[in-house]
Amino acid sequence: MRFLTLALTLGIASSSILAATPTAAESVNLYSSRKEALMRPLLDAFTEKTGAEVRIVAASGGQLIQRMIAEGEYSPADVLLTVDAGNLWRAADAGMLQSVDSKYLLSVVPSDYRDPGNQWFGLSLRARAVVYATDRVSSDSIATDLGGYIGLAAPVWEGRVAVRSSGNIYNQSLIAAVIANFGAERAEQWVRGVVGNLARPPSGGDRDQIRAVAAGEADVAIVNSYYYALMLGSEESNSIGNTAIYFPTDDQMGTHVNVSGAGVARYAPHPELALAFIEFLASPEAQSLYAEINNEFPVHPDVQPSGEVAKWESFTPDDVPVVEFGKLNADAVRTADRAGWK
Amino acid sequence: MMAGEAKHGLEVRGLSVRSQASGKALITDVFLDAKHGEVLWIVGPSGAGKTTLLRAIAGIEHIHGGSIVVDGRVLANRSIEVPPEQRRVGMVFQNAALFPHLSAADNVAFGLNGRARPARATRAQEMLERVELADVAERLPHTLSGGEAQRVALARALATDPDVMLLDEPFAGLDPQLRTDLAAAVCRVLRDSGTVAVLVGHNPEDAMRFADRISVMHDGRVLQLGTPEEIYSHPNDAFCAGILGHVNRIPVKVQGGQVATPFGPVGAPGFSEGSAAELLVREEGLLLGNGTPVMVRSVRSLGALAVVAIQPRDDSRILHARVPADSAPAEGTEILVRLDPARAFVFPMDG
Amino acid sequence: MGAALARLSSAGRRIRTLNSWTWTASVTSLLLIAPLLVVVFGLSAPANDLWPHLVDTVLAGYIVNTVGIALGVALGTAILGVSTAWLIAMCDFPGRAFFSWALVLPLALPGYIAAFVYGDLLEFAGPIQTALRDYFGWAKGDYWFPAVRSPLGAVVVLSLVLYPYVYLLVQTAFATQSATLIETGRLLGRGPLRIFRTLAVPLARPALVAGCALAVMETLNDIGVMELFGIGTFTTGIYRAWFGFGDIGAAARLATVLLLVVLAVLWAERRLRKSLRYHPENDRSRPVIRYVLRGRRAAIATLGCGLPVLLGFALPAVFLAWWHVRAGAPIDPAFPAIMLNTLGLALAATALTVAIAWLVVFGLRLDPAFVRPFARTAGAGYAVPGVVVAVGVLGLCSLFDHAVDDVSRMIFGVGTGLLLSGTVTVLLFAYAVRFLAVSMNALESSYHRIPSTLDAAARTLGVFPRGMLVRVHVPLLRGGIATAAALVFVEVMKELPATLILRPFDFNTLAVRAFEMAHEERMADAALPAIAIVAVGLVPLIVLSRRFLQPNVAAETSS
Repeated sequence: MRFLTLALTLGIASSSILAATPTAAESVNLYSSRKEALMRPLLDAFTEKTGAEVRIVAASGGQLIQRMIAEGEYSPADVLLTVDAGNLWRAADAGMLQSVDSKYLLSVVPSDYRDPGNQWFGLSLRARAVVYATDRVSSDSIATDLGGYIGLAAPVWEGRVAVRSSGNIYNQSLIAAVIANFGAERAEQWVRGVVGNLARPPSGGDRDQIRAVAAGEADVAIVNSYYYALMLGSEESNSIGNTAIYFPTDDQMGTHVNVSGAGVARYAPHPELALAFIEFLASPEAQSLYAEINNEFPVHPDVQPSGEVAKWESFTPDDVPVVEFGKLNADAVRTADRAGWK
Repeated sequence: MMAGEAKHGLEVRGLSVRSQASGKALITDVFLDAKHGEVLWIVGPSGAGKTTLLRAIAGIEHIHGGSIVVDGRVLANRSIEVPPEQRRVGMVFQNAALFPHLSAADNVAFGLNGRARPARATRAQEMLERVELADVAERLPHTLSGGEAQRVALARALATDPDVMLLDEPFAGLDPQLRTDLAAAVCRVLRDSGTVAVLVGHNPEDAMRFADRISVMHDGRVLQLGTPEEIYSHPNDAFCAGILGHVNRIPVKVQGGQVATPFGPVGAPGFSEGSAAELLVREEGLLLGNGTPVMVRSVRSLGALAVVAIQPRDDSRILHARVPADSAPAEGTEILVRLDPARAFVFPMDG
Repeated sequence: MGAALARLSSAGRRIRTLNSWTWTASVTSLLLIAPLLVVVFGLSAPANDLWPHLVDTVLAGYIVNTVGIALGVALGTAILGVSTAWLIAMCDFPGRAFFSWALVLPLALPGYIAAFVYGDLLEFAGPIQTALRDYFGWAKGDYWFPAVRSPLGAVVVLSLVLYPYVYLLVQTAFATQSATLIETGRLLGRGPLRIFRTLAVPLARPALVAGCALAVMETLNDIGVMELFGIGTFTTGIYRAWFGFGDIGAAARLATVLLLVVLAVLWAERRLRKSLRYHPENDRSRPVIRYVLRGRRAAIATLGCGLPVLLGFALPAVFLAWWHVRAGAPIDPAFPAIMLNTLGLALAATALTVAIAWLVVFGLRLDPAFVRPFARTAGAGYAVPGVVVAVGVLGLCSLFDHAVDDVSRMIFGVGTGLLLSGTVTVLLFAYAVRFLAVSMNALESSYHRIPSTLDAAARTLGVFPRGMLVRVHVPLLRGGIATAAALVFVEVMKELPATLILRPFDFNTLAVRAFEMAHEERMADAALPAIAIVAVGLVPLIVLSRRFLQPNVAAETSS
């Protein structure tokens, strides 16, 4: 018993030491699915500017939403930040976000990239692009050989396509966008076509798809634009020298663009500060940092992309509002399951 | 401690215990009593329920009927079950069950709560002296011999001054000489301590020699309770007759209030005419010298005694007689044998 | 009927005589099962059309992958564990003393990190295949190379990091096996292989089953390896239904199926161990005389022990270090704080989990019939994915917090808000749910070696139950406690999914850091925390394996 008491005391004592994080007079509690390391410079900048601390818990979007649901009306979360529109839509759908009244955000964030009910706002843009091998696919003719995403299902690409699993939200949003543009039936045919063209079973992350193209395992890969930019800026850039990026577009569908974004939590203890934080993230000074740190496109129209991204030619983004990705997500996943996209 | 009060000792009334796993009856309707300063020896074959009885008295086995009372204090009945730690009942286990990480002295001092450390040490040393093991105090159990371990276990149990001491086959696995010496020493210590001592043992000779009273158990029941002499001379049944020594069993028929044997008739009062019965003759109840002539088939010496296999004339049956070795006959000779009626018993045939 | 009545009535008596300890043990067990029950109760959530969709499309694949990989890992760990255990316990060869503890090291390497390293090394674009293509001038399709990101790859990677469970238990079983039995076998003219097959392995089967069961549990709850390799299993399916669809009903249905599988595995393990136990392990006073191997045989033995250590530990560790050095990345300034935080957390979780496990095992010892059902189910948390435990714990704490808040509002007019949610307490509780089984196993097997007559002796001497626990059990269980603590400590160091979901604000552990960096594909930054997890985990593991290491004995020369 004495041991038990000792062990319990030890456990509780050490846990209270661990739990005793200093609480600032004013702080914003951030639930973020963008990792802490990527957020840290922005959080520090916000603290420097306003004096308010930002405390962060990072996990996947779905997990953070479940945590908010479980915590209910006492949830300490002020801001939910996710790296795709689908999860923001789902949080709003579950009643975990609140509508905010911000002239600034409405003026800065284009309407396609925010919630019509003003519950969440996009903060950065990423294109779902195609990276191809320049030694096997002509850069002059890719616009005609491939064209838009629909072209990936064409027989000419049999055994040449690399893509990660459909469990990934970026692929789900892409399928949703295809559904929105072409209808469910054609979208399912398209998924079947892409699955039939795969060079190997879906696995790994987006970077692995790019490596597969560089190494010759596949000729084209569907990846998020920033992964390619990140690799170009790393020591790996030499080994992917035989690749280039292409933004698929055809008559009907522009280049698929997703957002990372944020909303104020329904039960936020500090709603004003929460809104101030989101407005800060959308401000020109934060936007360049926010986008640059992850090689994304800023959502603020006046802020220009930087680094590798700035060198890419411009593209026509698809005109389906990102809120549709959330609404159509369930259909997209089912389509993938039925078509056998693992 | 209870001077002046009536000390009834241990009273077990109608005790029943069933197996927790199978529900099978382990002991049934057992009655026992034992007084302070007395050594009660329980004998019986394995599976008779001897150990279960001890465990029930100690409180480490649940009872299903009857009662256990010590000096007027109820330890267990249908509504009360005093936990073992509050019973003031000490127990010595077959394997001694010494705590392997504690020295002999620490083992003995283990149960001495509520005393100052020096007082505990003194008491432990005192108890070890009483079992003549003062010199092993600092040794760990695995360095002790079997006999030493048992005596330390005894000292450990006695140190708390229990009202009742239970000893479960404490002498099992020891060589005969050591066993006899140890039994004598243990019984002396037990009697001196004034506790009620209940001991389970296998060896009938030890029981005869050292017990004040013997309880014969078989199949979960007590068949007879009495002094060694009572049980030896007046066994209740064939089983009790056989447990305290070797017997010859001869099926017989009762005719005219007696049964016929090759050595003459033996009285069988109270049997109905013509009923089947069994005659039990102790091996030491067949005496050489005069009587009926028999053939000596073999002679096996046991040291001081010899077992002589004899075959009466006109009989295929071989009987055994136990005689002093120096008066043993030679094999193949014919000798005269008679029967000691005090060591022959007639019981109804089983069934 | 009579037997049942007898059992009932004796159970009634036991509750009366032993109530506080057995009740505490049972209630504590219930508390640890509660999060799982919260998940199962999610079954009552309305089933929308996702569930039939899953049944139609992916469920069959989940079943095939889950069962196939679990069986594969059982087989893989059995082969690696038993063969190395036999070599260490029964043979003498160069490096034996080193391998006897080095073979435990892969346990320190989290499966997801091993999967990451091997995925990178062995994929088509990885250095090995690239080198092969360059050297032979091959192109795609010219040669065959096994796909590392496949179910078979998962089996191999998981077997490489999980076999030490089997090795530890079976090695101990071999080493404590009656020397007389083995010697009898040798005197009867049986060669080493036949003794291995006909004597040693059958006698060590309970340990083998226990070790394989641990490995299978780890496999069933794995999410990192499966996600990296793109394999759909029940666990990834739960993850997807819950966090991808936000569909609690479908997730609960998948989780319930998985829980049933887990309970079946646990039950089969108990039954197998019981029916395979031939004799109580005694006669361990004299160690077995080992075969001395020379020449080619010695080389094979050294290689046989070296490969698992190399592939399951050394190679991934070296690559992590190399990645770190190659990138010349500066050391994360937060690293020392994260390291201390992780250590404190792991120590606290270990103390709590071992204490709870002890309470339950002690209750089990006092009153097996009453406590057993609680204790057995409480162990199920080990095989449940960390995310599922986390969400159950989250739900339970939320229920508790809201109930306290309501009561407080009613009585005092002031709410208490969230007391537990978002605190380290919740995290510690989740670890206890997850790792209770690990520490209980170690303590129980240690308890089995204390004869029950010692308990009876303590009781009749009037020191019950506290004196019995403190003065008899504690000193005799030291080894078991050390084992339990070491295993829990290593597990907590590696734990990821529950930590991610349940942690308080600004709270980082090495595993979280390594995962986040790896997820961002910043391998150079992921390498340092990963190396730290492995390095810190090594300390208790080496202590542990030294404890299991049998004493050195003179070896004889083989004929």
